Amino acid sequence: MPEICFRHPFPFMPTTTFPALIRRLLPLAALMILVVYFSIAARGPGGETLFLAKDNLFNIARQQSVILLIAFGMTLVIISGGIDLSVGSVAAFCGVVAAWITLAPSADPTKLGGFNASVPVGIAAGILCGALWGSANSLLIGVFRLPPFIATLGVMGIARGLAYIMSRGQSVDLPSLEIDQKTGIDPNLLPGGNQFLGNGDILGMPIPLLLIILSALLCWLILNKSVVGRSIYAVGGNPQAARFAGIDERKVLFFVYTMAGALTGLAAMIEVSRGTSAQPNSGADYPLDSIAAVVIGGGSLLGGVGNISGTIIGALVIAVLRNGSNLLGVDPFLQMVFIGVLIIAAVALDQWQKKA
Amino acid sequence: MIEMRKRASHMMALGVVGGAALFAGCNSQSGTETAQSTPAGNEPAPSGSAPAATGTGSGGAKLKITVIPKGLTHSFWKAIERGARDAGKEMNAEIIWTGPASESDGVKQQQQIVEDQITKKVDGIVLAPINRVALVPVIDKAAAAKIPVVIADSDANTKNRISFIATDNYKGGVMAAERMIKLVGGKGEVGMVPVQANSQSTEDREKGFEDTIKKEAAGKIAVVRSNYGESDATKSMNAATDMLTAHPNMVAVFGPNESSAVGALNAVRNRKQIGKIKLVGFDTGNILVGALKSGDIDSLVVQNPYQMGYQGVKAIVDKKAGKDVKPRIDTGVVLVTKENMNTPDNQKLLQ
Repeated sequence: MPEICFRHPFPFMPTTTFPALIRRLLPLAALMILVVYFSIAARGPGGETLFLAKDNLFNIARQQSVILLIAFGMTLVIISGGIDLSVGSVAAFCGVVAAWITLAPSADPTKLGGFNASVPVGIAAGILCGALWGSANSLLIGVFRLPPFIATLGVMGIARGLAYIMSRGQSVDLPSLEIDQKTGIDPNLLPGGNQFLGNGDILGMPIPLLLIILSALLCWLILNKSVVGRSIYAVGGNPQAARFAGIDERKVLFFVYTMAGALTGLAAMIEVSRGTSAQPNSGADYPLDSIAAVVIGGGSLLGGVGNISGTIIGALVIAVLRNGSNLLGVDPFLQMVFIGVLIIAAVALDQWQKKA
Repeated sequence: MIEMRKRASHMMALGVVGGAALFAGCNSQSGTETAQSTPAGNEPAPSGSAPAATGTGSGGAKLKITVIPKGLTHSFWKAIERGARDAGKEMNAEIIWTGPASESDGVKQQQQIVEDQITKKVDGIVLAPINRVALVPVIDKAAAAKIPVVIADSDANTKNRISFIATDNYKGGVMAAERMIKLVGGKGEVGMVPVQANSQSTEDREKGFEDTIKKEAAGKIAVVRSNYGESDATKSMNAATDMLTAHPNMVAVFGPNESSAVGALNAVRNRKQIGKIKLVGFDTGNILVGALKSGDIDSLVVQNPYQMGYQGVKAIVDKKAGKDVKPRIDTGVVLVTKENMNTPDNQKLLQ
């Protein structure tokens, strides 16, 4: 018994067995093979590479930013031994709330050079809503002892239903301002504009890309350089040992799910901004897409294992596969099959590594 | 014990995540089924078919035109695909046919596909936007990249389109309502299975239907709305079933698109109320045409999606050749009943 209990007291320590090394490197290798292949295969009318162009890479960042941010939160949740099925519904809920607040009559944006004070307030409210749903999840799991699968399944239904009720089943649309014909400036892309967060740039960098980098850094620091991070691995890897070590599981879970909720809220804000509209029915595929990113990146649904760099690679493999397939004109149904095969291959590899 | 628990949860992991792949597999299965069961090789229907343009007849590079439907599984989209491909063959353009696999949650996928077509530097895009607002930023982006965009089927809130090619959906809803009033003898409770929030085309039909009943049978016919069918035949069936349970005196149901009509049909069939509850549908497809033949459905308001695909591609070829393109092209609607379904014109529309 004790051997089993203390088999992974510090699972964040690098394991050096050969299969484990392969497991870590294989997703990266897969990503690199895809990048090289699409760079060669996807050519424009003049023979130039379409894939490796700056604009296309920025597009990928914008397109995958929603899933990436949600997947960062999902990484924390999965390392803690849990799962969060509610992320798609929570994203829809946050989107509807934020769009609603943005629509509230406030400062007239036409007089303020496109700046609409209700936009940042809406964004803050959206992120807060996400955090609140996350803490509700942690309450159900940590205090009422519901299995994470069941607790978040219930919240998934509640948040989705409330999103439909608040929006009366309609998408909540944000008004767009006219582009200035003289200067060619699109006021929607300026700070405070509806599209700033999703389609805007700072110093030539897409804002979703900056948010991805910041969130990744934050999550990496938490997981690798903080006491909380070590506790998350401990709670997920070996709850009994964590308890003996004096870790309060409820506090750890509260942190994990609230953080995941806030990241989901932020992701929803990008989604709303990209389309200037909140869809109450959107995001049904977010839970599985983000879980897939974590699992391909080496996370284990058993808990205790996973890391942010792996999740980034996992999400990018999916994003690159979709983008490259679109550029090459691959059948969209076939794209689904590829991604399914990828997930099974990654988990099968996990199994093999455990046996070896 | 612990080993067993671990193994069990591993199985669960595989189940959950692999399940996604399986679901995806199911989806694509039904997609190919529709493709196979739809007879191929339609001709341009008579109404509004203009003489073929030969925009690129000069032997220049083949134009690349991407056609993006709302979904890939309804037979309506298959007809658009046939029209687009025939136009492509005729006018020497390469047609790229791609869209979201599922219509109900495909906004983000459509955004991504349009962006990727801009990267690909195609010569034109024909798009049926799922949402009239959410696709506007990417349509504007295409216009900024000098790629002409034709909007087909449902409109988008942007001026950056060279043409809007669609059915007059409001008129289609009016037609359905007029038929319905006749069917139920001008009185009673009738139901409708609305399709989806913020989809311009189906909302126009629903509005045309409700407005006409309000105008012509005020106080005599009440219209009840069920839950949204969300472009899914099963969800539509459940919505229709619940509506019929809640309103036992209902005498007729209107399904404003293929999946809503199929859902209403299956709900009435399951409840063994065929004949008692009259059905009016919109669009075609094997199930609906079969039900029209057997008399299970009274009538279908039929659009001309083949023409939408054909005219959409033609508009881009014309634009590229410097010709004028009409900003609005109406492809027409027809009420098809059991009596007139065998005329040659209507047979073409029902294919």
